[in-house]
Amino acid sequence: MIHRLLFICFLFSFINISHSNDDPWLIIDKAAKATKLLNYKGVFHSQHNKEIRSIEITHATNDDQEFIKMNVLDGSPGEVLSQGKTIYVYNTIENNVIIQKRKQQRLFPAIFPGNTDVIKNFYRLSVGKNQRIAGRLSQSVVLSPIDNFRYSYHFWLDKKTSLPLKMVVIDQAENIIEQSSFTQIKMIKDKNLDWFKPEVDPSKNYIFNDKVVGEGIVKEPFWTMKKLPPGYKEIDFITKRIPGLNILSHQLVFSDGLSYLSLFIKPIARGQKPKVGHVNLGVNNICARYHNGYQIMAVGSVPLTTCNNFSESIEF
Amino acid sequence: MNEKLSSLFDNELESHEIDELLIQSNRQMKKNNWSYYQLTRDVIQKNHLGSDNSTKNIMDAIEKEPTQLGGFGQPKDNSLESKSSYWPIAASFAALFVIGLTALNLTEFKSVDSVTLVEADIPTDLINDHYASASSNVNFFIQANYRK
Repeated sequence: MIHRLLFICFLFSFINISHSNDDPWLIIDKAAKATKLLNYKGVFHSQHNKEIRSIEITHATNDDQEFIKMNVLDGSPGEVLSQGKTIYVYNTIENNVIIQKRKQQRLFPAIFPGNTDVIKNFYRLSVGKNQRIAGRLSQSVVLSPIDNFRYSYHFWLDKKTSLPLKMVVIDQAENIIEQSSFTQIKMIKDKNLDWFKPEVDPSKNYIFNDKVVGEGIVKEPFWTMKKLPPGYKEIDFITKRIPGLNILSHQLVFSDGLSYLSLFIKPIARGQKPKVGHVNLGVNNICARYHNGYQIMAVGSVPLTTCNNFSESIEF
Repeated sequence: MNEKLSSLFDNELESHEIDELLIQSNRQMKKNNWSYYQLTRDVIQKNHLGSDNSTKNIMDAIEKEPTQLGGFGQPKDNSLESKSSYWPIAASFAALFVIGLTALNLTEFKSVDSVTLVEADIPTDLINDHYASASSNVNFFIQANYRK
């Protein structure tokens, strides 16, 4: 009997040691996988700037393919249906429902990049206290930036499943930039996908805006980027023809895995005066610069240093 | 024969000469020359109205011409020496033209007065396009690039 007790004690001590030796980033890896593999339904509040919305989400993975449905519960109705890499947004504007195809994006709770290695070099991970979120015990985790080019990300991960239940983005002055938090959530076992369809209102006109946002006229870039803030990489490049004018406007999207910034390059029309300087619009910083006949504008929920750095980094 | 035709259109022939000329020209199938002299006469006397489609025809013809990327070829000019006296004047004009153009460009370059960015300068489309490409649950539902 004593031998058995000693063996159990030894076994527990081994588990504790092996746990303490684990890579702390595994907790983020698990969270990233949980957002893809779990089947769940819940409601979360999302706040960005002064706007707050309640969103109902249903997520299921069937045959390695993700199905997500999101409904905006307050204000003007809105719906997102995502299957694999295809996303359709249904927006109600007066008597019309505009259906728009979009590129896949990382929305709460699936905010982590597929490869979490990209954020490991630019954020410090620290584990905080346990807290209850949406009636479930969660582990708080903070990703603090190692430099001034990004904000802090606070996560509360479900102790049982590792699913992110809450996220708060905080700037250097401790202001909340963005937050999302589940108010209720339940795991679903039913693999039925009957819920994966838009809620059709027969009294509305359905208009299919078939142009994929982000898909445009592919043009070779005539610019080069120098000295980008560390960790930021170009993840998208969109070229559009400006309606009514025979000129092209370009948008480059950069991300460090968590933060996003758009860099707009647009020729200045005759008679227009270029803008320079920066403004803070809610949680977005916007930095403008004039260069060789083009208006350069950087837009993003990123520190001013990052915004300025991007607008100054383009050359042609 | 051609001289007589020309005289005819200049109203310089007597009646009997006209009859003789008409008979001769019919024999010699000078129809094409007739039309040339008629056209010349009309133009000189400012009576030529031209065809309604003439402008279009000219533009169509120009359209079909190949683009002269290398400039038009210049035939050898034997009168170069005789024109040499014009070179100083031409050079002066060219110099003035270059100076003027440079000054104009400099003025235009300087006139790109930038203004300080203010909130009202930020187009809604710009912010919406950013939101449509950047992750944010609240703003993902905005209408990017949709115009009624």
